[in-house]
Amino acid sequence: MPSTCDSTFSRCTASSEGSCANSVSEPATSFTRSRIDDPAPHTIATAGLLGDTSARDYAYKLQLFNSFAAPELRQAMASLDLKPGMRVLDAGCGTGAALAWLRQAAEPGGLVVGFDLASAHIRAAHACAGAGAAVLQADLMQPPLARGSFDLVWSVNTINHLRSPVEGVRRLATLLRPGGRIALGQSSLVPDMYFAWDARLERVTNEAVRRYYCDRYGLDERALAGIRGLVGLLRRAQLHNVTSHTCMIERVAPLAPADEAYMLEAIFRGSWGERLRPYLDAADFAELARLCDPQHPQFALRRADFHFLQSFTLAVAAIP
Amino acid sequence: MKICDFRALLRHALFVLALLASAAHAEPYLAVQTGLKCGQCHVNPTGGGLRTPFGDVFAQRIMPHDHLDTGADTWAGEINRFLSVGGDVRFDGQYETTPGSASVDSFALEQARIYLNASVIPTRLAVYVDEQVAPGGALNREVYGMYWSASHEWYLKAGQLYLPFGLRLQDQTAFIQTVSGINMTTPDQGAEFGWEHNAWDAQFAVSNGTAGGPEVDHGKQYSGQLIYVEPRWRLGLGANFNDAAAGNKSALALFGGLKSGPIAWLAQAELVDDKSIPNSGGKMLATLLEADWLLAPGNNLKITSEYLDPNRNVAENAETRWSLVYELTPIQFLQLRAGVRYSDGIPQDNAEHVRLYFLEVHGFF
Repeated sequence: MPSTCDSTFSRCTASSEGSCANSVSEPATSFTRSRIDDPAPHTIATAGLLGDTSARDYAYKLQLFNSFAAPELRQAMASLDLKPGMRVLDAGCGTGAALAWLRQAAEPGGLVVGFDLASAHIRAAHACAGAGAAVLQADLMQPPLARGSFDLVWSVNTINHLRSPVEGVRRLATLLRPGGRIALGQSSLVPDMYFAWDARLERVTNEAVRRYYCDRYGLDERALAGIRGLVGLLRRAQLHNVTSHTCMIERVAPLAPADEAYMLEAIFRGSWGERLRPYLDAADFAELARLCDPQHPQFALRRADFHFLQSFTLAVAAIP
Repeated sequence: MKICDFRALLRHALFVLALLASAAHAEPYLAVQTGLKCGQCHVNPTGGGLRTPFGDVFAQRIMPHDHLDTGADTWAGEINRFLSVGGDVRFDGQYETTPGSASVDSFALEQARIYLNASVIPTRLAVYVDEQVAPGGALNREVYGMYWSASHEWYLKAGQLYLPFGLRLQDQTAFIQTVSGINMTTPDQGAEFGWEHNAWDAQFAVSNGTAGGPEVDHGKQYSGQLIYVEPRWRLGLGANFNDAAAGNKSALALFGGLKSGPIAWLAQAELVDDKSIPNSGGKMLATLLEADWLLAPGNNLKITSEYLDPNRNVAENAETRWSLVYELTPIQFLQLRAGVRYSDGIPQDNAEHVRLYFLEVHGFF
């Protein structure tokens, strides 16, 4: 089981070198404190599969992921052979970092549009993308855009937030002009590797995370991991020429600041932390806490043998 | 300072401002520049009037030279998910010369319009109102109900509406707008069916043919257009037939757009046969060629060449008109337009030799 719960919360766009990257610097606090949000319990029933609402805010986590995975995301984007003049939509643009990259690829003469459900993400996206990209707040299931408008729809770690992913892809496909393509990016379709030296602890931690999210959203494992069927999802949406390519996001010690910030804040504190205590036995939780504590001599991210692996899959399809 | 000196100074200032200032507006050239259909930016699929959330965001983020920060929220026209509002205000100063007549300079509130769209069933059923509130008393332009299919591949609207026929320009005095009589000052009462599929767009309307006035006969007006839209070009064919007691009127238009680098080209050729004009005097031809050069974000230079043959049975009676308009959108929701229009026609008619200099302020939301 991949660290689905981590990846599902990383509606990653990508970070840019400008203000977006700077905005993620957040001092470390403690194992149990996190700025990564939790949806209010009363909103879960009416929200997206993973609790998304217009009021939800996990901009900080998105920015962390964007800064962390920027090289791989840009590489995936480059594989799409974007050309000047293209009209590109970033569906689920999050904090908007990818918008800046898409603009670079589509200019001159191109048009880059992004939308996201969350107000807080839109605010961040406006600041990040700057003038020249249109960013609007919208529900992916009811996109306020005319049919047949775009050459490419780029959507990363977004479709897995939908209760009806096939229908979501169909809606996005209607926005494509004839011959247009949709590119769905998804991280962690295969298990992430955090603790190269302790496969058992890594496995029980991932299982704890999965059980936590299943409980939190009232989902079973199949629903939580449904995004693994990314290719089948595109085919069920009647799209053609489906291709898929997976790269590994790989980091080894010593880590760059962006990498350490992402793993510490988004993973150790945001996705794991105190909330895993009920799902781990006491010894495992104590071990995990030591590995995730920057003040502890065993802090994982400072170990010489630290080796992180996370997959990033880009599935591309076209409309006839 | 003498009054005449002041006027001369004012005229001079207006002229200089006209050359220095400018404005841009949701016009067909923007659709050509972006490769999008009119309905991307306007609630009305045939263009004009209330902007969609995308149109509002486009107007704030992509059109202007600079964006003034408005804090956490962005105007998208939506009061809530059921109700959207918008508006346009145009105010201008003009200096006009006509041979044989005293020149005229004037300020005028050209129009203030308010739009309201009540999406009583979001994305499916809406009631739309376009009301001109100034100058003068309130004047209804469009009021219709519109039903969209679930797939948004077709719609049906009924009420008072602008008729689908060729390019819908901001300049309502363009020959191609006046010769056919179909423009944004002559909405008609009827029903329109629209179809959108991939690159194709089509509309067909049946209306009274009285430009919104009371029906006086059994004849109806039929209007339609078929447009093919590619990212870099588009081509359309429009047709109109008005079965009127005073004499039938038919019009045929071929129109299109092309994007070549920073320049968006618009063109339309239009043949009109107005039987209400005796002795076959109603056979007319009007053309328009427009180049919109996006010099920099928020800076558009518009050059328009127009041709009108008011009676194709008479030789050497053509009229031409050239327009040079600089359009500046310095910040979101504010446009300045400055331009000159130069008409040339038969020597006997002074009205065909008008020189118009104008500076316009356009606010919209």
